[in-house]
Amino acid sequence: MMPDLDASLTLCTYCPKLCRHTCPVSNAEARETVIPGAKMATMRLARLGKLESDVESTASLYACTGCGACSEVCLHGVTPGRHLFTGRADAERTGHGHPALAGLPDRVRAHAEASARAAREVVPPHRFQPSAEVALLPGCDDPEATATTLTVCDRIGAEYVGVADVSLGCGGYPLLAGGFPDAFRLHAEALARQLQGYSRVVVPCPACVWAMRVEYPAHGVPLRPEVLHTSEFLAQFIERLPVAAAARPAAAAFYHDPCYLGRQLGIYDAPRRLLERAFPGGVREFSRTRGESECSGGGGVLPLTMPATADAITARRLEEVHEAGATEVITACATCKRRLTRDGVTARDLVDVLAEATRPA
Amino acid sequence: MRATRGAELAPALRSLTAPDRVSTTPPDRLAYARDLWPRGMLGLKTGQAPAHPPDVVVWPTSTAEVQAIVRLAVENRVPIVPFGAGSGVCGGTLPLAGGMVVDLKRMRRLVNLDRASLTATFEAGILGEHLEHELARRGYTLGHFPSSIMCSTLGGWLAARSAGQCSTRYGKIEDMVRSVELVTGTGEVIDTTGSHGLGADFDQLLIGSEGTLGIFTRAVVAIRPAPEARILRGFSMPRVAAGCEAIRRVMQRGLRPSVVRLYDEIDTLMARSSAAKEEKAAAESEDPEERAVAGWLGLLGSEQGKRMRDGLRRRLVGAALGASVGRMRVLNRAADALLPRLSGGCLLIVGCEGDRPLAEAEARATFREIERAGGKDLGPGPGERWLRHRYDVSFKLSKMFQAGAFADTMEVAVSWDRLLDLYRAVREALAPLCFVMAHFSHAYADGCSIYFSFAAAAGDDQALAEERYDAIWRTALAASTSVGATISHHHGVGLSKAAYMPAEHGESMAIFRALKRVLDPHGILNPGKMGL
Repeated sequence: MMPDLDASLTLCTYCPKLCRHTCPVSNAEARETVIPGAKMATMRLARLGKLESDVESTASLYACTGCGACSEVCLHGVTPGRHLFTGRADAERTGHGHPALAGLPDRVRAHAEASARAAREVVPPHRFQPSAEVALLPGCDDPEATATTLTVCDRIGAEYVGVADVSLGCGGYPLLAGGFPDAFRLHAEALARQLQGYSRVVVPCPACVWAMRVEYPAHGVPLRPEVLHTSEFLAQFIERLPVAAAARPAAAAFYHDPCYLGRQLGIYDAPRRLLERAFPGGVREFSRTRGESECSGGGGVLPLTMPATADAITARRLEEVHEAGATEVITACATCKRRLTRDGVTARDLVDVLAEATRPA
Repeated sequence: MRATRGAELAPALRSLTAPDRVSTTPPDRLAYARDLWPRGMLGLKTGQAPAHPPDVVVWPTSTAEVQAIVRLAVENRVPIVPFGAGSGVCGGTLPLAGGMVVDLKRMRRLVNLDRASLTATFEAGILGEHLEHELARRGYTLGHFPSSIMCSTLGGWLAARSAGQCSTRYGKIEDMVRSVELVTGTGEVIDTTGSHGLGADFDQLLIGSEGTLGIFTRAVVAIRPAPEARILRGFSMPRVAAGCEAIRRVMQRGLRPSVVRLYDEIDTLMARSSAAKEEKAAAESEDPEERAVAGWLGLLGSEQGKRMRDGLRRRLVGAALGASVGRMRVLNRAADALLPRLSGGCLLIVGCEGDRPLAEAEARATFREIERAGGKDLGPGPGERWLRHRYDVSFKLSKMFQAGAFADTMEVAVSWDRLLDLYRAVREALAPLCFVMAHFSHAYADGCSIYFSFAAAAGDDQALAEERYDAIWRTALAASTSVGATISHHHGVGLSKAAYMPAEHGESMAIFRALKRVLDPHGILNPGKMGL
């Protein structure tokens, strides 16, 4: 059974640093202050009233991408990433939130609304349906992906898939990660109302899939439709995908497991099965893959709070790509795609690959 | 928090390194004020601030930066504590005099892999798990698997003369090193590459110095191809003495199994208990081998026997967590009296690895010797289970503290002729004070190490807990040294055993002090440690 918050904080405080090697922030910073145990110990001190009341003292609570790598190796079942989001909420409530997150609720709302509008610019109006069996939720990090996913759906005979007629193109994950649970709940309620007319919603962002599946109910927000990640939905049609001819060098591209898709939702096989069928030559695995996969640095609003550290995490993830002389990474998350496109490497989303594979000759 | 002289060096340190690689913030200073010395962890319960935070923390990225930092410290007579990952259990990285902590973890590269010579050059700050991963993905292994592999660095291993779980085959870290690079307390760089084959072995003078003679910055280590075969086996030995005799025979015959671990009756009882939770299915298995393991685990046999074993285990753990000191002696004595009859023997885990034909031949010979000493073959199950869970025991530490107790371990070694005396002396001495169990590992042709684990109630009174903790250690080390054992096998000396160094080393301590005067004439390196 998963320990509650108080037990988790105590277990981590006394733990002999057994998960530190997995923490992307800790590995990038090489700083004892930001190993998972120390971050949890800081949160415990704050709750005991033994922490200095200042922003500096609570800064380490923000040194986490929520990637869940530490939980993967924890025999106690502690989830520091999730608990630290609560620690951030505590800090925010006492006026010691991270300065870079000031006004985040307004920014997230504006961004989510802009994303929903952006989707309308790339998707024909008739595909926006107020109710449908299956609807795509426009993603906030990559509006083009909505149109691309729709194209793939059309080509594999799932023309009935529409786009959710919503004003918010985001599940609200950044609000939760930033320590704004009330704003998150309000966002969730608003989006849940707009999604009433759908049976299933296909979401491109793994972090928002996680938020909608796990955190909406935990925050008392019922959600009518079943929430699926794009890879889960498309894997149901795998037989309709063309079988790739191995026309290019074998294993030229690496596959990167998004943390929220893999560790948090347990979805490892769906994207691999799709790629195995549709991507010529197949993909190459990182030496740390699946549950051991290293973070791309994009989660937990780290690019906002610790941008240099987020960049160092991304650079670390790409070391193996450079070492192999490869230039391409495929992933299933718009945030990971954006993070991993740098230093001569191009990251592509799974749906981009599938669109290419299904393109009419 | 009080600002001190070391903090005044921050601007200079920033210009020597980088602005974001120097910190004087209270959170960073507090994070480097503790390591994993259990005595220091007693204060965590109440959120007590640690007594000795450093003034400044700096993260160098090159040997040249380490040199520059040391020279700055010398000029200003500011102490330096080299820091790996802070997994030491003897207080070896506590900044007793404040000053600077030099964290090496940003020096973590695999610098060179020499496939022809089977050596690898690593910077000292690489975490053990990362080092082994870098080698493993290229088809090699260092063969060094300390239980701290997730939270310790190569530099820390060198500083404290670390031993891994496969030391019987691969040796301790000092046996794996081919050369080291170290920055002395004057800022000079010593690189021992090419100095071997004649004269003194300078590597061995420096390894184990725990940051008092210099700061390790890189090392060349011997590597091996990842083993083609790994053959693991469990044996049930009738008593501890028979198990020790089996190991002695194996080692003195020249065999070098990778894993040799003999658990005493209490440790065996604990191992059986946790294994049983996982492997109940084995009891219902049709497979005779799995049934044999289940039988040994106590899943088969009389209900009464199972109930008694389980009851005893619960009482022992309960005693550790809450018994008065007076009751502890009674419980330990009861365990001594009952366990030989209840435990079904002592578990011995043995493994051989390497090229398949060689590993198989070595395993055959090893297993034969163990059977000659009275060992009953339990098949591969217990060994494979050990391999799957070999790092799990460390998770129990936080559970103990959470339950209001404390736990610690003492690893000491002695020659074979006094090994059982050591075992009995420490157990008897500690019986009134704490719950104690032991396993035997890190075996050699001439002796063996015993790893004592002890636990006691801490209560809410920190001063009382510290008093009890200190009494346990005083008693344990007195008993250990009374039979001529070492004060440590691989955890190092640090602060907790510093007072025992003169007695341990005798005249050699003068040589150590002389080395200190030469390599660290201003005494800035890790002051207050190792009895210097």
